[in-house]
Order: sequence, then structure tokens, then C-alpha cells
Amino acid sequence: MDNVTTPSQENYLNHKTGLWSWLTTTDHKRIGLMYLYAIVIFFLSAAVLGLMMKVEKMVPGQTIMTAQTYNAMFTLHGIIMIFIVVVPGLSAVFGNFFLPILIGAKDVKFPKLNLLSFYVYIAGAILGLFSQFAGGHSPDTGWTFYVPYSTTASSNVVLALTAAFVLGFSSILTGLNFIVTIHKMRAPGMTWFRMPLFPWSLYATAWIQVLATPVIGITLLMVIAERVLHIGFFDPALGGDPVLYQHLFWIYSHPAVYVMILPAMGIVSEIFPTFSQKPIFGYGAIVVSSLAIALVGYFVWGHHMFTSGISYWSRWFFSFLTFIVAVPSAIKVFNWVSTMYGGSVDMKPPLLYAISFIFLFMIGGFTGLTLGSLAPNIQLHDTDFVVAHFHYIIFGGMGFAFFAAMHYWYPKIYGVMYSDRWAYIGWGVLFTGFNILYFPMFILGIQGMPRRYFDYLPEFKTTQMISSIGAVILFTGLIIMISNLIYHRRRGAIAPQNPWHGVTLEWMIPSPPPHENFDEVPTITEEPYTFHNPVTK
Amino acid sequence: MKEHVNHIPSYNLIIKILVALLFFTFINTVTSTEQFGTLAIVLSLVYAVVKSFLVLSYYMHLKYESRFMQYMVTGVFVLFTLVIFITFIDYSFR
Repeated sequence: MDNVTTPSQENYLNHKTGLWSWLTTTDHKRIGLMYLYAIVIFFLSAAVLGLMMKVEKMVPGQTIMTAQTYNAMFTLHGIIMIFIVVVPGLSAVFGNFFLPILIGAKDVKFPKLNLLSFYVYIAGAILGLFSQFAGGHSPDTGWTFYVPYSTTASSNVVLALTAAFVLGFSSILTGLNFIVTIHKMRAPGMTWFRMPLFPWSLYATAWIQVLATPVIGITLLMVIAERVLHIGFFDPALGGDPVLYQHLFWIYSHPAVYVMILPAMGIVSEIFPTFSQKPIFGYGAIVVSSLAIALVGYFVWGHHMFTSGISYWSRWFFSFLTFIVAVPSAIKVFNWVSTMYGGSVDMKPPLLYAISFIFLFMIGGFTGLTLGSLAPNIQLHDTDFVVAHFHYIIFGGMGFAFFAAMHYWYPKIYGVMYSDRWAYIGWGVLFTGFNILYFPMFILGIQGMPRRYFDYLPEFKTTQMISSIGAVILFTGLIIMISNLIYHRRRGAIAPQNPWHGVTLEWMIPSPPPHENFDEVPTITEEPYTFHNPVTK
Repeated sequence: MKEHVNHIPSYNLIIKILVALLFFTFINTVTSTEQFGTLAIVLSLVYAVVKSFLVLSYYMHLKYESRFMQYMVTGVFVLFTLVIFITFIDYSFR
């Protein structure tokens, strides 16, 4: 394979021009980019909310906001981050952009449905924001919408629930599209076990999206029905059961964690072989573990409910399965590390982010096992420990994988290079800030600091201060990283076709890719990650 | 790849299925008015399963689809059965 140093003349960015051509596009790459811009804007907005919350808690007592505003802030932060950023994030952006290319297709199976998914997503996101400002108080239930508070609160909960419901539709449509695309659009010769690992992870994710999302949709509708029509699903006074809500909510929301993290695992599985110039270690094991995570992850929802009054046997069952689901995750980590072992490791920014992903995900994973154990869970439930664990998994896992993907595929998406130097600096500040922000929250949680509390006791003051300083550092890192990417979008050096010496299909086409990806649909003759001429350092 | 053949069920069959669906709806309504306690939920779920099976098989043409498609739908059905079973087992042991 040769490295072409001139950008393709005709590509998806200049194939048609004008705002209308973007708004009506059915090109998977343009739709992926539109998702990217929307998600980055929402991410930064929610990150600012998070930063403000940490500033509020820098010292005890009220400083920059009231308790009610704080409640609305963590609710909006959670709703935006979970439903608008993290759940669709990797699938909608990088899945849309790269899935068809990686399987040798010219587009997804249903391009118009793909565009519809985007507009449904935007509609849901606007509804979510609207719920903050339209009449009454902003929703203050937290992103979990737990009953009985969500069925009785005077705040604007119905709109927020409707927003989450609409966003779920977008997720289902994207998942459906990807399942059919992978089944029907693979290039000739691309058998299931010649498919790269990112599409595999998207396939496992898509099944969860299609099967689990309807459950949350119905559940949210039930809450609306109880609020508006007083139908007794969850209120004991009406013959309902509040624990049923938690069952239904987590039947979706725990698999949703895997919707967030599986594509992240797929992305780093692309990055490690490329920057080690070596085939992935244990391809089959990674594939099977992705499917195993998707399947077993479906049956561990009860570990969110150990203190909610579920039965002893249920607690035992869910705790056991929680430990089981750690096994396939650990298999993946072993395989990624083994891929680097003996390889020609080139520590470029994408690899740095991918390695950070492993480190942070491992901390999140191990603390997840702590929470999955019945006895510690009683102590740690609803404390800052849970918040720290969750952010290590989701931000440290999905977030860092997102940044890894951004740095890995940036040359392909835009046809230009970013500054490695600023990428390293951005990573360093971000990684440092991340750990200073979240690690103290483990300690706070063990010491008994409850989550979602506006104020705290004086003994938490120093640790809270350290954590808040970490938030400022992290936010600075984010700004450096994103500025580097934005700045070089117009001013970066022209990217070669294959700057990282990768061997998957996206590196076989020009940067940026042509409108329909391939002049001729390629025929696949060998396994992915076969390095015939590895570049050694 | 095998050519896909559209299968159009006869009006006769469609009406038979409709009658069966109405019948199960009727007995479901009757059952819900009797004092069956917990059994009422079980019966309702059984009726719902039978009706879903009929709709999926005939109205949604699953009966005429490939084995692969049938296995996929069956897998989904098994998954949801397990989820519902686990949820209600919790209620039994509380």
C-alpha cells in the first residue's frame, strides 16, 4: 500500500457545497460529522455545568448558586451527558463515518433513515434543553428520574422525560441501520471473522440499542402516564410499586453503559494494532468478549438496586453476574496489552489516549467490582464513590476513547494533520486534571460524602478543594485539545492517505474520502490487521 | 444469494388470525374481571405471548422468513422472557 501525499480532489466535503447540501445529505460521513459537531457542542455545555458544580463545592456553603439551581444543574448535566452525548456519541459519530468504510460499503443500508435518526436526535436534544426553560422549575430529579420524586415533583419533568423518549428513537433507528448494514453490505470476501473489530463492537452495541431502548421508552411513558393520568404503575397509593420503576429503568440503563463503552473498546482495538504495527492479539477472543459483554450485560441491572429493597436472592444473583461480566472486559484488556508487547510501538497521540483509556477504565472497572460486592455496596451506595467510578468508566473510558478516535481518524476525516506537540500537551493537562478531579471523589465516597449534595461537612473541605482544582485543570486540558483540532482544521499540513501505516480499509482510500468511499467495492482476501510490511521504529 | 420470494397470505387466513386475536382479547378481558390474583398476570402474559406469536408469524410474515431470521427473533423473545422472569422472581422472594 502506498502513501499518497496529495488530498483527493473530489471528496465528501466538497462533493456538494452549501448549507442545504449538508442539511439534506444522506452521506454517512456528513451525517457523522453533523453528529460530531452537535455532540461536541453539547459536551462542552455539559462540561461547563460540571465545572460550575465543582466551583460551587470548592468551599463549604453556598457560593455561586442556590441548592435548587445545583439540583437543576446536576440533572441537566446528567441528561445532556448521558442521553445526548455518551449514548449516541461513538456510534453516531465514528460509527456513521467509518462503519461503511471499514466493511467496504458505499453507505449504510438505509441512508435516509440515517438522516432521520439525526433529526430525531436533534429534536430530542432541543426538547431536553427546552425542558429547562419552559415554565415551572427546571427538572431536578437527576438523569435517573427515580419515582416517587419524578411523579410528584413540581418541576418540568414531563418535557425532560419526553426528550429522553425521543432520543431513544434515534438510538433505535441508528442501531437498526447498523445491524442491517453489517449483515447486508459487507464487501465480497469480508466474512464475519474478517471484519475489523470496530464494526464488531458496533454490531454488539446495535443489538443492545434495538433491544434495550424500547424498555426505557415505555418506562418513561409510564411515568408520564402516572403524572398526567394518575395511572398507578409506581405509586403504592395507586396500586403501583416504586421498585418496579428501578427494575425497568436499569433494564435499559445498565446495558446502555455497554452502548457507551463497547464502541470505545472497538476503537482502541483499531488503534493498538496500528501503532504497534502488529496484528491484534486474540482477535476471536475480543469478538466473543464483545458479544459476551452485550449478552451478560443485559442481566446485571439489579446491582444498581442492592439498597432498594430487592430480595436477597436477587442481590446474590446480580452480584454474581456482575463479577462474571468483568471477565470478558478483562480479556480485552489482556489482549490490548499483549498486542503492544513485542510490537513496534509508536507513541503518537491516539495511542496515548488509548493507553489512558486502559488505565482509567481499569480503575473504573475495579471500583465497579467493589460496588458489585454486596457488603461494600451498602456503605458506598449513593456516595461520591459511585460518581467517581462512573466517571472513570464513562469519561475515562468512553470519553478518552472518543478523544483517541478523534486524533486517530482526524487526518482521514479532514485530510489535514494536527499539531502533535499540542496534542501531547492537551493530553497531559487533561489526564492530570481528570485524576485530580475524580480520584479524590473515591476517598470522599469512602468517607461518606453523599452524591448530589449541594453542601458538605467541614472535614471534606480539603478533598473537595483538590477535586475542584482538578476540574479546572481538566477543563483547561479540554480547551487545549479541542483548540488544537479546530485550529489545524484550516491550517494543518496536508495529511497523507495513510499517516499511521494502518491496514484497515479506511487507510486504503484518499483523505478525505471520496463521496462514495470506493471507486470499486474492494474484495477482501485476508484477515484484518495483517501487516505485510510493518514499519519498525 | 437466494432470491427473496414474497409470500402473500390468503384473506381466509388473515381473517382466521384476526378472529383468534379477538378471541384472546375477549378472554383476556374476562379473565381480568375475575379474582385470579397473581395468576391473572400469568394468564395475561400467556395471552399476550400467543397473540404476539400469531401477529409475528402471519401478519409480519415471520413464518415465511429464513431460519436465520426466525432464530434471531426467537433469541430476542427468549431474552425478554428471561428479563421478565428475573424481574418477577424478585417479587416472589421479597
